[in-house]
Amino acid sequence: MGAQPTGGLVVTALRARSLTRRLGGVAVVNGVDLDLTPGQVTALVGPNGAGKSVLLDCLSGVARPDGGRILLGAREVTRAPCHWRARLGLARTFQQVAVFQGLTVAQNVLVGAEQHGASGPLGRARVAGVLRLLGLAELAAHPVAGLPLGVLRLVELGRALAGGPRVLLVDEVSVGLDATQVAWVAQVLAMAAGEGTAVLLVEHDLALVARLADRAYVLDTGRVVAAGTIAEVLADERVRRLW
Amino acid sequence: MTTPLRLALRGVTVRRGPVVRLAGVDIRCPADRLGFLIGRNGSGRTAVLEALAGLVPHHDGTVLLDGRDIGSLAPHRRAALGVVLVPARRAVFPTLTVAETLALAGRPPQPILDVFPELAPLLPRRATALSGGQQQLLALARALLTEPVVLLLDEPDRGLAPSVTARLHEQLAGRTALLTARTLPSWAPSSALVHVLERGRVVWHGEAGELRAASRF
Amino acid sequence: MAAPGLAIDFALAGVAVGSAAALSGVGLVVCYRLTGVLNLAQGGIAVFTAYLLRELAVVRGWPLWLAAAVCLLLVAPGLGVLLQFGVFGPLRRRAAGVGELVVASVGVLVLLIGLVAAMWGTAPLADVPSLVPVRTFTLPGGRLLRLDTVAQLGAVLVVACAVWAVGRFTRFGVRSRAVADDPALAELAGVNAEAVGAVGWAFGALTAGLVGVLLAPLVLLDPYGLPLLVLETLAVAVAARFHSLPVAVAAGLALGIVQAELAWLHPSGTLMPVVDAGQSNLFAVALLVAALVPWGEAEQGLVGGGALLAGPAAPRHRDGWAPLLCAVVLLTPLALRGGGVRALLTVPGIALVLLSVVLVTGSGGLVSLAQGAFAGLGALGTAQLVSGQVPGGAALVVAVLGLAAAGVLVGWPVVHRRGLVLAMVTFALAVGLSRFVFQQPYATAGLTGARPSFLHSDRALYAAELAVLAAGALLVAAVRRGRLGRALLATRDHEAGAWAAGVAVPRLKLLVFVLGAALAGAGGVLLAMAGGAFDPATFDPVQGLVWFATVVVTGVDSAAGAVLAPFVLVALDSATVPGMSAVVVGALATATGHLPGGLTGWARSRLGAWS
Repeated sequence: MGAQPTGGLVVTALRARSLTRRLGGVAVVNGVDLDLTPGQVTALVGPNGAGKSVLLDCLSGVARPDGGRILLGAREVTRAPCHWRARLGLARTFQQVAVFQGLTVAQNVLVGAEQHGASGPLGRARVAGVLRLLGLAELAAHPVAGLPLGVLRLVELGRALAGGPRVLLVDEVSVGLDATQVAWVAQVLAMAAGEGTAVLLVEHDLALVARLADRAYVLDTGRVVAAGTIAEVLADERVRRLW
Repeated sequence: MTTPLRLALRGVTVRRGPVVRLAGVDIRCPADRLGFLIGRNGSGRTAVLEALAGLVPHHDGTVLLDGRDIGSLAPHRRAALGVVLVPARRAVFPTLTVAETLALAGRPPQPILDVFPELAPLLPRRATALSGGQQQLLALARALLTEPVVLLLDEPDRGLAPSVTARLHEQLAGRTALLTARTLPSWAPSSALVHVLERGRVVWHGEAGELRAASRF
Repeated sequence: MAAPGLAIDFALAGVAVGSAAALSGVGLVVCYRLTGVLNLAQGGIAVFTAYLLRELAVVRGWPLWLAAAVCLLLVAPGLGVLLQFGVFGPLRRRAAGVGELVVASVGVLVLLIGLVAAMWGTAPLADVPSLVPVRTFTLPGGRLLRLDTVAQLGAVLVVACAVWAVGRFTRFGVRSRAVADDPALAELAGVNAEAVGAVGWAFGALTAGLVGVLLAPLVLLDPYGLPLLVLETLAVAVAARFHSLPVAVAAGLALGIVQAELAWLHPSGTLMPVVDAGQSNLFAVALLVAALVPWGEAEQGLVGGGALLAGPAAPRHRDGWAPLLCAVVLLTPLALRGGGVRALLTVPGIALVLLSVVLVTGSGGLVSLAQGAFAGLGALGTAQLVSGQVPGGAALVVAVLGLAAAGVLVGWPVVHRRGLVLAMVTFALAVGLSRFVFQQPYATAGLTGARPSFLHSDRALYAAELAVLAAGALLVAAVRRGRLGRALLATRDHEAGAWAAGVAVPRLKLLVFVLGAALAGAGGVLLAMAGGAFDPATFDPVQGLVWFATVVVTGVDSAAGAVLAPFVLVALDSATVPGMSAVVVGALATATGHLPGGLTGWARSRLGAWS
């Protein structure tokens, strides 16, 4: 696994051990071990109801796990509230796109920047940079209410990137995007990874996974059923049965 | 290939406030064939489905089901006539269990459980306890169970795992259905009727085979 | 205990009250399950039906069975259908939030009470005919049992069993829950949402009417007493988590019996005032306890469990003219001669309370129904301090700081609640404060006037009040601007998203709640000074609901609306009769289904259409 110490440094950006979450008596996440490495894109795939989004909720702090541990860098964050993890450099997007309808595109991104100490001129500069990266500069002053879903996904991604995250969790980002937008997002995620961010990509689009990801975990009924490099995982017999 | 027309929009205009969502659009759904509404986000795909299902009022034109004008009927009357829409998001009832949701169709649920066996263990669960993909599957299963005359699906593949979408596409074969998509899916049969929408207008229509042939050049 | 037999007699007496409470609670639960609306108007429908029955049977001399049939089978269900088509259908169809639904039902309540008062006057009546002959049975052992108690108990069981059977054996049960969840989606599934909603409301109104005609002979009937009695049975519905009928029946009966037994025990000594207050306000205690006990999974199943007041907020407008308009309107009375100012002395105080609602609910997304009660605490504190020879200015500062501290204390367990549960917890708090503080002699005895001596002239007092109001308005503006304002809007629009973006959501909500409590407290201070004394009626929970409704009607995002509305309402009351403003607010509240964004939202859209 990608968690060997090298030269005394822990190179795992996010580490989960025997993570469990029960909903209504059912263990929807069941003893999951997961490691995210800086600069790598890790994919999380699996059938509907496998527990991918719930796992993301546990990692990001939106939901409390019923068992297990989560380490962000060297720091234990299992019980830390969501905003605390965010300020430590853990950013995420949501399956149902999460944007703030009452704010403009630039203000949405600014909310992300401000929570990481970038307010005032520094914040505005950070926002301008992110908007340029995402090709949203022209829409900066536009209210997000009424924008098409594809743009909203980019806005949400922009807000997540604005804090300069060490770990980025991305939930089904390609849903609702057309081919050019998917290509654009793929480029942005690759760039983020290139700058050292550990990216976790929850995705059904296997073509996108194969193109972007270095490693993959396969989740089924709350358990990790396969893990390894992307080639190994896609060749796994159990994985192919799921598709 | 000519089959009788099941459902159609004739010169329909839909406005929301000052915004024109559809401008004098003609859409045809021939019997027992798949139809696709292709266009970017905001091109008016969803508005076509909503006008057909009666969710939004239309200003000009007519909505025809088997030659009869159903434009003035409320959504539940159209659903009773077999025009069934599955919206793109939030299409389940939060406090109903899976079994109760399927019971809304008024038929025994076994046929659809045979197609989507992954629903069977979820029957006693509330819809809020399902994942996003499972909710989408439940909404589609409920619609399929009603044996609709015309099925209107807004981006049905959204959030579904590939193994599920494959079975969904099998189920759609031979039905009268109208699906929205951003681009023509590769699984679409070449006999499928395609309408391409741009800014609330139909800019091209014809069979999927023709569109593929045309885009090759 | 010397006489266990007496305990049984008191228990039987308690069953009478208990079964009425159970029936009312079952009515609230059933209406909620069928329509997705917490029917705060149930007391209004009950009192209207009771008055109508008396009118037909006593004044017009109709046979009792005919009058009862007309009231219960025709008028009450008809009223319910009217409510579906006129008020709640449009609200549900545009997926209105919990706050708006609460406000609409408060509007119906206020309107019906106003209608009853206008048609039949406010004098208490004792001659409402009893549907059941006043007879008693002798039980084995020589105990007496009243026939009407048996009839009430029977009615509870029949209604509960009927609802259970319909849900269990017919398709209507599932269909009605589908409509309660999402009317538009239910229509797509082939369910006639309007018809199901109409049946739900007809049934809810029928139950409410039944509560009214069964309770009215047991009390002196006046337009205000019965609705309050019915409102207290909210405790039963909250205990049942708006879902379980058996729990509702059991809770209603248990409360009735415990209340009767406490009356019998009647301990002496130092405990007596406490037990007395608890006994006569047992339903308020139960409401508080039931609302504060964690809801657990029951909260998940509630319709409209989201944190939002309405759907996603529209982009904020900056109306440059609004502060100017407010300043001009509020300063004009200072230029008037004569006693014009005296009538307007309460305006700045109410404006501060309404501003606190704009801050807490509009910006913070917290549906708090306790702002009126916080104002009451401020008013009471001021009256206490001034009576203790503390100068007025110091009293203001102490009261505001005290309220902020109370806000921290109360807010900590409250702010993580959402939607209907938050509304219920804060309403229970308002009821509790009203019953156990504002109306108790220990708190209000020996209070002298609260008005500072150096503000002897009305004009000076009004000017001082305006200065406090301006400070409050500046505070609200400061919070809603900049980084804090953005974080608030983000949290209101998408709580999980804001949290995941690093916004410290729990702390932010607590901050807003505390500032809101302090603002409302300052408003209460001004109201106490303006009125010259502490008046518990000003801070009644129903008055708090009307204030909340006023803000939603004027536009929950609009600080200018909150400042101007009291001016209009106070002027209206002094120009017509006291209470008229509440009726106008009620009428507008029932129209919120057609007025998304309130009056200011409507005005903006008209201005937008012109420009």
